Amino acid sequence: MRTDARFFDGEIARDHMAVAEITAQGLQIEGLDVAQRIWSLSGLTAVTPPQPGYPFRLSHESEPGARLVITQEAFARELVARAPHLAGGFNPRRAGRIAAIVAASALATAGVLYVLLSYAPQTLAFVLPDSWRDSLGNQVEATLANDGKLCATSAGNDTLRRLAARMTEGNPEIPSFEVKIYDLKILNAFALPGGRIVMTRKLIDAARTPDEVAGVLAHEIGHVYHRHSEAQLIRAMGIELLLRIASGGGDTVSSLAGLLAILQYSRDAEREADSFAQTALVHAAIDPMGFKRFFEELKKLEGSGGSGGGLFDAMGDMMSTHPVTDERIEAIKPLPEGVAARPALSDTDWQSLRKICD
Amino acid sequence: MTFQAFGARGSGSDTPLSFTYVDKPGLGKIALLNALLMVLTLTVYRFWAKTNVRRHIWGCVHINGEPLEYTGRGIELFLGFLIVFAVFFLPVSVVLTVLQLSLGPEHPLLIGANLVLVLVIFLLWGMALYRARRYQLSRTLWRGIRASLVGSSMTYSLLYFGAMLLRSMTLGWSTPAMNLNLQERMTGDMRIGSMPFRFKGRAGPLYGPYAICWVVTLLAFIAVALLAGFGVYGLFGDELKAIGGSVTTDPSNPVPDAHRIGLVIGFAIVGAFVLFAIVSSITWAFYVARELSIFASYTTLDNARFRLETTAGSLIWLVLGNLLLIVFTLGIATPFAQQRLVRYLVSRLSADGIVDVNAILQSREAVGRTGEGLADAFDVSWI
Ligand SMILES: [Zn+2]
Repeated sequence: MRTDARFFDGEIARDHMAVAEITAQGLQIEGLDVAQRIWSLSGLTAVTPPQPGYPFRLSHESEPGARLVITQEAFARELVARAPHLAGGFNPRRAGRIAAIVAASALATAGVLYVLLSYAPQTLAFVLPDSWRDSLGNQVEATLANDGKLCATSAGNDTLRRLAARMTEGNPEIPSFEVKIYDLKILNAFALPGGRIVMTRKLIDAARTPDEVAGVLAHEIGHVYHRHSEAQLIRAMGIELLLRIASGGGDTVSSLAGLLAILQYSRDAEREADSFAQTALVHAAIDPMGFKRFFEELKKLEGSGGSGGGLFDAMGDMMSTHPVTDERIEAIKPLPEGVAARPALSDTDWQSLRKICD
Repeated sequence: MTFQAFGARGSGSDTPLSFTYVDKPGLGKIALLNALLMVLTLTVYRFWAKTNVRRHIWGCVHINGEPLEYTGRGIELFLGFLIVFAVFFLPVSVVLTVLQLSLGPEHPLLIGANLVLVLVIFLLWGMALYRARRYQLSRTLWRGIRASLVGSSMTYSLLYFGAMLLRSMTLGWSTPAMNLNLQERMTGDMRIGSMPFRFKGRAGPLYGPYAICWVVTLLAFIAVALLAGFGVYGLFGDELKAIGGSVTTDPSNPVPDAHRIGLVIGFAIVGAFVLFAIVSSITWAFYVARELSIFASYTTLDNARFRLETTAGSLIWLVLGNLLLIVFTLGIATPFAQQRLVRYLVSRLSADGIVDVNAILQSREAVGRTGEGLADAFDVSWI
C-alpha cells in the first residue's frame, strides 16, 4: 500500500513531496528530492495520535527532526493496524508500569518521611541551644496568652516555687523551668519550649485538692524533661516545609492547624509524661491518687456529652491536648507501701493558690 | 478518501505566513484528568498537567498549515523545580528559620535578611521569565525545526530589575521605553531554527496612549477619593464633628456611633479601592492593546512583518471571561482559559511580506535538560 505524503527532513523547514509505502522492512519514503529511506515500524512515533479528519504526523527515532504527514485515511488506518503502538490512547501495560512506579515512590517517600518526622524532631530537640528554646518559648507563650492576665510565676510566688522544688528535688537532670499561672478562658496546662509551664486559673479552680494540681504539674514537668514541645514545634516546621515543597514555594498552610495542633502530643509522649509524673510524685511523697482523680473527672466530663456549657467546653480543651484514656488512668498507681503521703500544699498555701488570680 | 492539511501551501523561497488556530477535541478530558490527579498528588502532578495542556494547545496552532509541536516532558519541569527548591528555597527557608529561632522574630538582622530576600527575588524575576521562555521555545517545533532563545538570562534579568526601579522612580513614565527595551531583547534573542526574529522601532508611538491612560488614571483616583470622602462626610458629617468635640471637651461622654462610623469608613475605603481597580483596569486595557499591536508591528522574520489586531474591548472580554471561567470552575477549566488566550492571539495575528523557508535550517542551539524551575516557583509563566 502506498500514498502521496509530505515530508520534512528536519534539516530545512521547506516541505518535500514524497511517496510513502508500507513494505516488509517498514515504512519506505522516497521522493524527487528525498533520498530513499526505510523507517522501521517499531521506531515510529505518532506526533499526534491519529484522529479521523486530521492529518496523521509521524516521526522516527533514527531522524529526530524529520516528519512525515499522511493525509490518506486508509493508509493511516493500515499503518496503525501494522504498528498498534501508534494508536496512542490507553495502554494498560504502560499505565500499569507508571502506576507501579508512582505508587512505589509515593510509598517510599511516605515511609522515609514518617520515620524522619517521628524520630528526628525528638533528637533535634535535645541539641537545640537554650537561647533558641527560650526564643521559641517567648513566641509561643505570647501567642497562647494573647492578652490573658499573668497572675503569678514560680519566680515571684513562694507557694509555686516550693511546689515545683519539691517535685524536682534530687533529680539534677531536669532542665530549669518556670511555672506561670494565667487567667485564660480555657481549662488547661501546657508545657512550652524553653521550660515554661503554663497553667490556667480555670484548672486550679477545677481541682479539689492540691494533690490534683501537683499531679498535673508533675505531668507537665515530664513534657519539659522529654523536650516534647520543642520536638513538636520542629515536627510542625518540617511538615510545613514539606507542604511547601509539594505545593511549590507558596505560603499555603503557613499557620498550620494552629497552636493546639502543635501542642497536641502523641500517645507515646503522654505516656512518657505520665510515667515521669508517677515517679516524681512518689519521690516527693505526694499521693498520685489526686492526679488519678483529676483524670477521672476529666473523663467523666467528656463522657457526659455536649450537654453542659461553660466549664465543660473549657474542659474539652484539656481533653483535646491531653486525651485521657482508661489505659492512662489505670497506669497511675498509689504510693508504694511504707511511703507516707504528705499533702502537696499546706492549707494556707492551698487557699493562697486558689486566690492567686484575684 | 483523502483530506488536505489545513491551509497547506507555500514551500518555496518566498512564502507568505498564515496563522490559524484549529480546535481539536480532547482538551476537556485533559482538564478533568489533570484536576483529578492534582488533587490526588497534592498538586505535585502540576508539571505533567501543564505539559499535557501545552502539547494540546501547541498542536492547535497552525503556521502555513503545519501545527506547532510541543516536545517538553513533565519530568523536566519537575526536575527543574526540584533543583530550584534545593539550591534556593530550601537553604533560604532553613536560614530564615534558624535566624528566627535564635534571634527572635523582631531582630534587625532578621528584618534585614527578609529585605535582602525580597531584593534577590526581584533580581531573579526577569531571569525566571527569560528561562521559562527559553525552555518553552526549545521545546517548540515547527516542521521539525526547533525554536530557541539564544541570549543570556542574566543580562535580561538585570535589565528587568533596572526597568522596575526606573518605573517606580519616574512614576511609571519610563514604562513604554523600558517595555520596548525588554521586548527588543527578548524578541531579538528568538530564533526559529537558524532564522532570527528581529525587533526594531521607537518608543514614541507608545507615549500618546500611555499619557492618556496615565492622566485618566490619576483623574479617576482623585474622583474616587473625593466620592468616598464626600459620601462619608455627607452621611456622618455631624456625628464626626460630635466625636471630635467629645474627645476634646467632654471625654466622659461616650460616643455610641463611633464604632459604626469606623465600619462605614472602612467599607468606603474598600469600595473606593474596588471602583478604582475596575476603572484603571479598563483604562490600561487600551494601553496594553496598543502596546501589543505596536510591538507586533516592530517584529519581523526574514522579509515578513507581523501584525496583531488587538482592541481594548476584546482584551477586556478575554481577561474577564478567563477570570470567570477559572473562578466558577474552581480552576478546573484553566486549560480552556489558556486556550482562549492563545486562540485570541493566533486568530488576530497575521504577517505581511514573505519568508524564505529554504533559509530556515535546523537549530544548532544546545537544549537544556531541565526547565522553568524558577518560573514555576515564582508562578510567572502564564501557560
Ligand atoms: Zn500532656
